[in-house]
Amino acid sequence: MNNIDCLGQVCPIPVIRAKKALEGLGEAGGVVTVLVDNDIARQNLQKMATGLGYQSEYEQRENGNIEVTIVAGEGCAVESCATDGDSGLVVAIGRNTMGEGSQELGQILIKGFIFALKELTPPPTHVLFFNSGSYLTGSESNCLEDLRALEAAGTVILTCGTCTNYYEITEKLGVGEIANMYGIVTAMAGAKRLINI
Amino acid sequence: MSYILTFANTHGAIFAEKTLLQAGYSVGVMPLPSGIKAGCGIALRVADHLVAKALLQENNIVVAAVYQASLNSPDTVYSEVLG
Repeated sequence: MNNIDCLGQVCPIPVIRAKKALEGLGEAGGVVTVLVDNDIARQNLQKMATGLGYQSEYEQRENGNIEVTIVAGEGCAVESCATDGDSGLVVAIGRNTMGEGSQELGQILIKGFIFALKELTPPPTHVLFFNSGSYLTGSESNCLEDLRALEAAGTVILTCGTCTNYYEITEKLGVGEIANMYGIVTAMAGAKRLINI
Repeated sequence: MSYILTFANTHGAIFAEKTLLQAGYSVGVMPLPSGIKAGCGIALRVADHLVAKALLQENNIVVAAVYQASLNSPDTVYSEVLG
């Protein structure tokens, strides 16, 4: 068993170290446990595990630390095949406006765009928010109702944690989850079609 | 949010959204549904059209039309609210 102590380390370091340990297990598989002290690292570790088709679980300790256990190997893969109803569509939103030109026009257009996304059947598999696009998933956004409807329809809503940290809005996330660049790249790489706004 | 407000032009819709948000009133944005002819390409969604209209009227913003949305989305039917 591999035990990795990532206390005091912020993403993406715990994810990188866990990934290396998992790769080191080879085809035989095994168990990797990672000790972290923040929930964003825990979420990213579990997303990485699911993305690789491994099972994971975590245990919150009394001192606030979190132990994440990832089980890799034959017979442990999580079913991750796309279903028939899966659109394979990923929408990447890197700003809080749509198109070039007037900013106030762009800001209202992007809100209309998100509403219209909600009407798609099947819905996008992922909607990714980064840079100023991160404002759209913040608690002060008036797109939250539409984004929550998308989430309820099965869309994964991910917002770049580096970006929410930069804009100091991490604590204000109103919908979906925080992701790191690995999560964003993995979602983009898994897309059948990608819309980049 | 089951009422839809439409506006004669995009500037009106943008100004109306800003005005309602500044007044602390919850408002959503949507593209004008294809079944609605009156108004520009952007419509606003509000819970209470009378309150929203009164707030807009105070700021001299004219609402082109008000529609009520049935709740069976995505086949939502919009019927005009007169008066």
